[in-house]
Amino acid sequence: MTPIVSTPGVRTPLIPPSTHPYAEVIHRLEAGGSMLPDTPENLQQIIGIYKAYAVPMDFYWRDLLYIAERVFLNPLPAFKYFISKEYLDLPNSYAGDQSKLRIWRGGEKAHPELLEFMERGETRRMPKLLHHLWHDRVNMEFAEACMQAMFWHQGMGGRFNDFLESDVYKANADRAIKAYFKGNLVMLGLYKLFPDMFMEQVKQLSFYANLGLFWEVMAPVFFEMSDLYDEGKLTSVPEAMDFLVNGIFAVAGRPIYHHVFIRGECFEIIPKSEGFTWLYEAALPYVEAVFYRTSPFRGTKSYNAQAYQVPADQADFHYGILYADVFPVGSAGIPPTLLMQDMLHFLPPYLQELYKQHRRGEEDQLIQLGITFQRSMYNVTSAVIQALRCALLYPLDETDPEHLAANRRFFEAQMDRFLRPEARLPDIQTQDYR
Amino acid sequence: MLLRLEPLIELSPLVQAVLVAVGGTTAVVASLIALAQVDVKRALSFLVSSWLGLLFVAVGLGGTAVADHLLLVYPLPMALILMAIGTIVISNVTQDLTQLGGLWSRRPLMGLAFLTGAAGLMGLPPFASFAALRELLALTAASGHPWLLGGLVLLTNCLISAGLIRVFGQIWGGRPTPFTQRSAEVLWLMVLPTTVLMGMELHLPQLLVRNGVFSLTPLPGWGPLAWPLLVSTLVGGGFSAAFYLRPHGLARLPQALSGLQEWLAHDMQTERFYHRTVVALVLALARFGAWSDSRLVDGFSGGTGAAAMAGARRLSLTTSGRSQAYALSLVLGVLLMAAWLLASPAPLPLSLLP
Amino acid sequence: MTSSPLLLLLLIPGVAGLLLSRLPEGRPALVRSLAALAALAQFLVGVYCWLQPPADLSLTWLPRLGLALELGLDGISLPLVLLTALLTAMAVLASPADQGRSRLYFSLMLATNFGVVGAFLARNALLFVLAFELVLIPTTLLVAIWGGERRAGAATRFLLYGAVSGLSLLAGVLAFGWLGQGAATSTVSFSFEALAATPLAPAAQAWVLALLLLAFGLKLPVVPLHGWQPFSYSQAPAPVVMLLGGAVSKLGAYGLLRFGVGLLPDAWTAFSPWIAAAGAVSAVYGALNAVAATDMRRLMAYSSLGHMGLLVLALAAATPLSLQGVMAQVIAHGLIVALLFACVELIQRKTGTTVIAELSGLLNPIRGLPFTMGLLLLALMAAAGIPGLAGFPAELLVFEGSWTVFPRATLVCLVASGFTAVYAVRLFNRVGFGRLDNSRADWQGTSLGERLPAVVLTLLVLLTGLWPLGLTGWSETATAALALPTQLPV
Repeated sequence: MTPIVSTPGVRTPLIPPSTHPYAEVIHRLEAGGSMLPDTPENLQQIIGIYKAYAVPMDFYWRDLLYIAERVFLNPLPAFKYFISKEYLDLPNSYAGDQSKLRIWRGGEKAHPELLEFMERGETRRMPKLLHHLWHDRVNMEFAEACMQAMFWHQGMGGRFNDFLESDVYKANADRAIKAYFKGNLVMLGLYKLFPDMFMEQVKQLSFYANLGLFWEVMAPVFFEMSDLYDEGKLTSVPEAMDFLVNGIFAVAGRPIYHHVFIRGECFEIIPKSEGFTWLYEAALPYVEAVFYRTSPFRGTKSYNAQAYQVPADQADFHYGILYADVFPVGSAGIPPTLLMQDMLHFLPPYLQELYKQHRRGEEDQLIQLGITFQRSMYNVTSAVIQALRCALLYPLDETDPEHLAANRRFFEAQMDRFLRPEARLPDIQTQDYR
Repeated sequence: MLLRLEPLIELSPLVQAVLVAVGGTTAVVASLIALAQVDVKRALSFLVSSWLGLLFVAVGLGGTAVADHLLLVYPLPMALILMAIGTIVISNVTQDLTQLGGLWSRRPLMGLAFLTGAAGLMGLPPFASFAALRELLALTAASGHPWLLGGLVLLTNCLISAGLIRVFGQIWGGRPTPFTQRSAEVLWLMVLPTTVLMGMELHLPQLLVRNGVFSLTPLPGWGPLAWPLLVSTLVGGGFSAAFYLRPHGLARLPQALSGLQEWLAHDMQTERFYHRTVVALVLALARFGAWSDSRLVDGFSGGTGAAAMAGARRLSLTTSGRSQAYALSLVLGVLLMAAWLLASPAPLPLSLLP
Repeated sequence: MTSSPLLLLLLIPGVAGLLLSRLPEGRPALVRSLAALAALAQFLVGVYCWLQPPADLSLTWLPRLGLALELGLDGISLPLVLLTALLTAMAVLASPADQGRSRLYFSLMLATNFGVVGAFLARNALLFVLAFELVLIPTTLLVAIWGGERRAGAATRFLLYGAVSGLSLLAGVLAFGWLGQGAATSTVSFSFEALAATPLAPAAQAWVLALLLLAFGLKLPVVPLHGWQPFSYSQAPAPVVMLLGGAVSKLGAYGLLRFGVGLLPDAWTAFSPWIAAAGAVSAVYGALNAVAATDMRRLMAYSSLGHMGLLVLALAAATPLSLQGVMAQVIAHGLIVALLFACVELIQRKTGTTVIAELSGLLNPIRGLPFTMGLLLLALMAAAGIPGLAGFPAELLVFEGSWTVFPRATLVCLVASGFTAVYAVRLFNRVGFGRLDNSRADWQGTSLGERLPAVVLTLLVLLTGLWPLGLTGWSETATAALALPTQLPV
């Protein structure tokens, strides 16, 4: 071990610089920063888009829980997006006066901007059914697409996925299914013939609950970050990332469960006592499934088996937001486009100003905010990486070169996932990428 | 359109023979190719080609009613099959048959829909296509080459059945793969219409009998040559069921035959053939045209232009820049021209003088 | 001075062109608007002439030379005059609003218009030659001053070919007049009536026609006299090419029709197999070269060459139907090539390039040029002869009219017409579809004013495609009168 040679004012680095293609980013991560460069405009962009993301997210988590807990196995769920007042008022465990761990200073019910949008939409006040049919509403299909990504991808770690095959789960689900279809001979008969079909649906609904509980946490985190920025208390991108890391650790142990309410009785399909935690069973699979993997959006990649465009291995999928190409992803019907349209409705004024000054101004706000969203998700991913490093490896201000080398190997392994040409990491390093 | 042209086609035995030959070849070859496909949509689309090949045969043999019936019974089951497949592809992110499997227990509704559609296309009584195919078989039996053409129809039916059951077995039979580990029934907006169409398909034979298209006894469309048709369906379907419904070693072709499978899977490389001949010819001609234009024409123009410039430069060297020289040459020129004009007897130039 | 509308047709561009130079400097938008107004006024006068056909005008000028100011409009020249006026207006509007040296630029455009319209209006062969030569100067200057990087070479070549064409035309017309009338009278009249009244001996006709074929073949152009065209079309500014391809090249067609078919029928019949062959070769050569082209402008230049080949075939056949096809093709092609280059102008202005390899994904609805590409698609379809657009009735008439006389040449042209679909689809595939490069897509969209010329031309292409009488109705009687009876099948 070479001793530190201390010349006044100069600190020699303890390990030699990295030789990875993303060396600059790795050094920034080792210094406590984010994959996103620290500039005032970057901070403005990501905070603004966090707030624009959090408002529809408020609807997503409530409706996801509504579907998982109330709609349950309805065979023709035409009104699953018509959320009940009870769920709009469902108190967010991390906001409002009643919360035990208050992250956001605001109220525990649905965000007022969300309520206003649900009332009016882009057009005008109309009966809810007309808003729904005209598709002038929050695009819940995006949330369901995220849920389906988490549901479908295998091999992402955690015990949640395997628990769904266990006998305990099967017994719980069986009770719930029989209770739900009590008196419905057709459905019960179908259940006798094809039990797995119903079981699979219940598994999917468990993932609805999983994602709903995940986003219940993220929404107040983003709201608080936006409020802090408006006050001037968040001044740099690393500070924003640190807030996320602290939030992740604060909520890491939150239990993930799936309760169903059938005619007033509560059926615990996944009880809290099973001990599934937020960080390992919801956050990490979510990041892996939605940020990295997802699935090739129809129309952007050929599914033709002889074109070999879709990888044969789920772990090779690279269609998440971190790899997204803004133009095909901005096309109609593709889930991220739905989110982009949602965010368009809730942009803070300073972001609207920013977009007016670049490219085609108001005409291509969707593309501009899509790219901003990509930057912000790189920031969130950086927070997750830093949190993992903190949990599994060593602090950043270590003096032991061995530990620092272990940290570096971890960061380099994470950066290896961005070596493929579709990764947008090099693009977000410049401000020109709009 | 082909049906409309039927009266015209009847006039030429050559055209009829060509239609039968082309149609028959398409029917058999396309169904063989369908068996080799790895992509589920391609496997189904080649069955379409095969069916249309049978239609060509019917038209070529002069059986407009038979061709009409073939066309009539085909769309509904095909649509049903494609809808069922669509729900599978959307939930499992793949069209690759090797990545699908083991879905029966979790997607039985779509499996039943597929089977209904498949039954509607194979020659299986009481479904509608049995009647149409039997009529086609009877038509070939009455033609000039009963054994050849009849055998062709039976073979095609056998292969179509095999192809359809193969697709069913590879998707709903066998063991789950990583891509089908999780497969929940999809959105009600997709499932409901599929089941409704399944109901319609099940009622189709009755509808056709009601409208007098086929006769009823003892099963809709039963008649002469029904047994061979049924046997061919069962043989084809049975073979595929044996190989594909449960995991079977032979379901994956041995390595030695994988070249054959590749060749069939790529439509016998017709696309590559087309690229190498027609497309290459056009591009070669185009390149030759571009070369000739840039070398010959541009060269000529450039050359003459350069020659003109060079000549002009040479000429410019003769100018001395002194105005007396110019004045002198002007005067001399005018004197010479006047002398010539006065001396020449031709009246024409005179009329030019104002 | 009699206030004949025919004179007005000439005076408007002439006077406007001169007046433009009087305008204050540094106001290009104003100059452009006035130039457009002048062209539009000329168009309106043309419409008036259509509704109230004016009498021929005849003013003596230089009787000793046989040159008189004889102007007239008939079924053949009227649509051409209207086309020229319209295309001038569209070309002016397609030019950028901040055009450099705008006064000179737009004056030269109007001067070109002046010459071309003068040539169409002329009923005197020497007047025609004068106007024909007059067109050369402004067009050369337009290429030389505002062209692309290699404009000097392109302008020189353009000038050389044009000069040869003009000299050849002069020689041919003079020979026509002298050989026909020289022995009989003391003064030679070059008016069309006089030339028609004194037919030449077949041998003399052959010589004259050869000279005229050289002159007009260089103008159209026809392979192998086309060396100037791809170079000039790729270097000249796109609005100038709209004029060149749409109006100026039609001088060649008009000349062949008026002089060749109209005044030299015997020689024409004798030469026609060779002319038809040249047309067929042109069509195939143009189409194949377009397939191989790497730059959009060159592709469209070769496409134009190919379409002129069809026109020449129809001229060679000279049946009533094929001559209707000639007029239809003249108008349709004029509109289509102008529309193509209007789209090219927009693409070049926004993206800065017309090289096919550098463009892709322009159909992107948010950051591409979707409107322009939509119009380009229509233009390419029209060029390929898709029914419902202007190109189809024109090509149909050409083929139907020429099939009876020159079946093999027509077959070759049909194949060439098939090739047009190849390059049209290839071009649109490469430029429109595919992935738009976000890092280079920092242009703004097209504004309404920028789109206007292309929209107007598209509407006309659609209209004439759905109502083909708009292509042939003007000239049916006139072309029927010109058709050669010897070409009709026995």
